[in-house]
Amino acid sequence: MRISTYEQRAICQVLREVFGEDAEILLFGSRTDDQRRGGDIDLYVEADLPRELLYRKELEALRRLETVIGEQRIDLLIRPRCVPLRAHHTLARRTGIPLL
Amino acid sequence: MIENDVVFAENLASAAEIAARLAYSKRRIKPLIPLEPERITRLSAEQDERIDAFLKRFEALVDQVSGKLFRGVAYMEQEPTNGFSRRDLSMLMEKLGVLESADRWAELVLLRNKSTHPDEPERSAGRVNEAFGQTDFLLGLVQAIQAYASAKGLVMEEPV
Repeated sequence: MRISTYEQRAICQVLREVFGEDAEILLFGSRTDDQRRGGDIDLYVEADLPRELLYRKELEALRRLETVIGEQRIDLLIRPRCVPLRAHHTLARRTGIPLL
Repeated sequence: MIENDVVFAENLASAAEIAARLAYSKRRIKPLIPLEPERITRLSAEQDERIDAFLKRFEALVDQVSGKLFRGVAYMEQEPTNGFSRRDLSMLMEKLGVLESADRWAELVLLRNKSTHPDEPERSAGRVNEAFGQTDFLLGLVQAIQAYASAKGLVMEEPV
């Protein structure tokens, strides 16, 4: 995968603080492919979260991620566990690499 | 007034116009808030237009403030901003007392930039609700910049 160890640790720390320790975090998209260059950092998060808080938590997470890893383009795909799996969730889960 | 003062005054007047339209749109969508994900797919065309107008005006005002007014304030304060990131600029506004919270502003900009798709009803509804909840903060920011400009003797606009 094409994110640094520092970025991986920082991402996990921020996302677990925002979404809880049991949040599942995966990197998906072009950054999983070592042969490619550049591209957004696409992250999939699955967490116990009321759906009313989904967008609020997304903004908080993105703002905090910008603070620790800079204003690079990060896309978050968040699935509250109370929301049914949709096609884009399934694709991210199938192709993503877990971040620990 | 020198040329840059005039430009700043014009930009502030534009922001005040957008702010007035945004305040109107906020009142128009108030009966729909909080918007539930199930409801967003069942809105009438007229309700849909009300929400679209509200979001467009919200986005336009964020653009005007971040793109024009913040840099104008920095210029008036003779603060160099070459090479400043968006974050640097908002931190400067916080330091100058124009902006209450750079963190809150950062989330507003993210809200402006992070659009949603029809297959994400939870995010779509959440974005509308969040923008609605942040509108008073945004309108208050324009008022704060108007007050700053008045104190500098630059602008005599009616408050938002």
